[in-house]
Amino acid sequence: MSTGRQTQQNRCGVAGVSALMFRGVHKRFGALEVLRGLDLDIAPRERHALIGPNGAGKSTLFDIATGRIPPTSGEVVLNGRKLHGLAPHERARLGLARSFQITSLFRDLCVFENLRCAVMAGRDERYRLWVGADVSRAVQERADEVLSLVGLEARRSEPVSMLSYAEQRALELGVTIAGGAGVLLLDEPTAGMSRPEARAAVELIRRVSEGRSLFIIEHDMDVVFGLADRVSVLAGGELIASGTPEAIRADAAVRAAYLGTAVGQ
Amino acid sequence: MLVVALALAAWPLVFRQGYALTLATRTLTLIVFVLSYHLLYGRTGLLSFGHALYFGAGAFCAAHALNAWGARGLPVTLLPMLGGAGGALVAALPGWINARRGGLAFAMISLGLAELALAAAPMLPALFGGEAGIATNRVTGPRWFDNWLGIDYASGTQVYELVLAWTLASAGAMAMLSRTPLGCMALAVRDNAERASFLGADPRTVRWRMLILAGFFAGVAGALSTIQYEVATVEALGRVQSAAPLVAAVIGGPQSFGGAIAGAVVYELAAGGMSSLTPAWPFYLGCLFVLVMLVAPRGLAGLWETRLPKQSITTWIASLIAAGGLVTVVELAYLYSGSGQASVLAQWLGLPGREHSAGAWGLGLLTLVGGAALCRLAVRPNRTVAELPA
Repeated sequence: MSTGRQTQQNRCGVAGVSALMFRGVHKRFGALEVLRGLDLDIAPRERHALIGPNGAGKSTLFDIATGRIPPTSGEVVLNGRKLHGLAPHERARLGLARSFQITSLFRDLCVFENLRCAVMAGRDERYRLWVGADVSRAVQERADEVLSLVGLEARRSEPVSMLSYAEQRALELGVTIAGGAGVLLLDEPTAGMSRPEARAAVELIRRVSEGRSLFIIEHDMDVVFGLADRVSVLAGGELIASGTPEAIRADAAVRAAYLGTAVGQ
Repeated sequence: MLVVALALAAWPLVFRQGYALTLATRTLTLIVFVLSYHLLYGRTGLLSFGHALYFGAGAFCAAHALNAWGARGLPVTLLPMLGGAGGALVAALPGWINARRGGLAFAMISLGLAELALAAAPMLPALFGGEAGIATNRVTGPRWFDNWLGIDYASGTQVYELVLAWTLASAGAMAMLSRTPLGCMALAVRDNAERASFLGADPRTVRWRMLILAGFFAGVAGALSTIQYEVATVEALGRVQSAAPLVAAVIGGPQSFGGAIAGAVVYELAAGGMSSLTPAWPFYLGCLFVLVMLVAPRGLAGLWETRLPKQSITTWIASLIAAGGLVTVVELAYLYSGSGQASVLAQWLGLPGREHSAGAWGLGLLTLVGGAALCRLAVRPNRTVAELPA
């Protein structure tokens, strides 16, 4: 483990701790080996994109990071703290938030209630039966702040089922950031969107990830190269490249494995 | 709100005693019980098949407490608090295991726990009092606190007022719960437990705490029933008692607070009011349950909110004809089976003595099928979502 930390420090050239760090992460489903010993560092306040063909193990990596499934072996470290054995809600309280590829909201609640629940779930008063007016006002204000941040003020009391797809994706993002987590894991936030919608979503993601660490799975190359400081490529359960967008664009192995003609366009 | 409370408080002035007062007291107790179920099912999404466990815990807890400490001045007015504590305790202990999962697992374990208590009851006569139950007395004994309030619970009116006070307090507390952080988390867990966990709320903790609260208020209802009847019997733990809040909540609308109250009133009117008209009342209640599931899955509250399209007078007449046919057939069948005497309902319809007449059966069946067919033709379809008023 200490050698892992050493390597990371050398590579990043800073003595700080990685926001999120994967060390030798292995995942096997029966005979199927999805991840084969993966090492990856997300630096603080870095926007890091993860790309790779379908079935490369990207969502599995998110599931392992957030505690949805345990790794077969290996370690996930958040801000220097090992996450081994912690449940999803415990990891969330340490400042790790994720969005879902398939929109995952509170379907019978209205837009504002979704955000209010998300804010409350991130606070220590979450199980209380009584809170002071200051706390409930703070929660209310934060929910409204996120509401305007994701541009859904006009849909405040609308039930989730009445929202358009793009609006649901925006709310998904709002619910993810509402608790104020420092590390955001976004799973294909622009999937299924039209070009203009995706462009608006990128702007939104750029805004909400300001000052935080962002780890994003994305298929849309415009989004990846427009947003990310660094890009990692996952193929066949292994990282085949990691670097700046320009370096990835130029990488022959990456082109062969995944990008194909998409980069040339 | 206040008007309703005052009107309810004045109820005994109109119905000084007798059946109307008993029925009203029973209804209020059931409202508390159904609302406690609503906390679990409507608010937290936990379908329970064994809610009587907590009702029974409250009922027996109250009976034993009154027998043990009644002579030392335990106030009857505050007895429901003890019943609630008993319900909460019984909910808390196995609840931590049960709260791990929602959905079917929770439903099955809740059923198992209630069955366990029901099976244990005959084996522990000291605790459950066998078939006779645990009898108690709400009147005798030094009741300095109750006397200081100026009440002795000798009359049904005073019991009614006690039950009313506890019902209003409990309903108020449960309504407020939706504004608390825990109430908010419960809704989140109900709608999407996994999402809630990724936001920092542990679904198990939320379910467990809501289960304890539901157990508390079910226990309050149990204690209220003990005070009313001065006895706690195994029936308080039974399957009928477990089914009652489920049926009432579904009829009223599972996700609606007001619906739970409406469901309790309908259930008690059917169980208490209709039982004097016909012994076949559970059958009619079952029909209502099925009808609600078919036409209005969101219950009476859903009907109220979505404002179904106004039906033509033909539909209503057809429905009445079909209902009349159904009642005729059911009552004839009941007479035919030869169990006991003819019901009041059968006598109204002039059915006794005709249970072997093919004409009566034919007429009944014809009315039922004809009414139903006419109803099917006349009914206007539900509006689509787009047509609903905003």
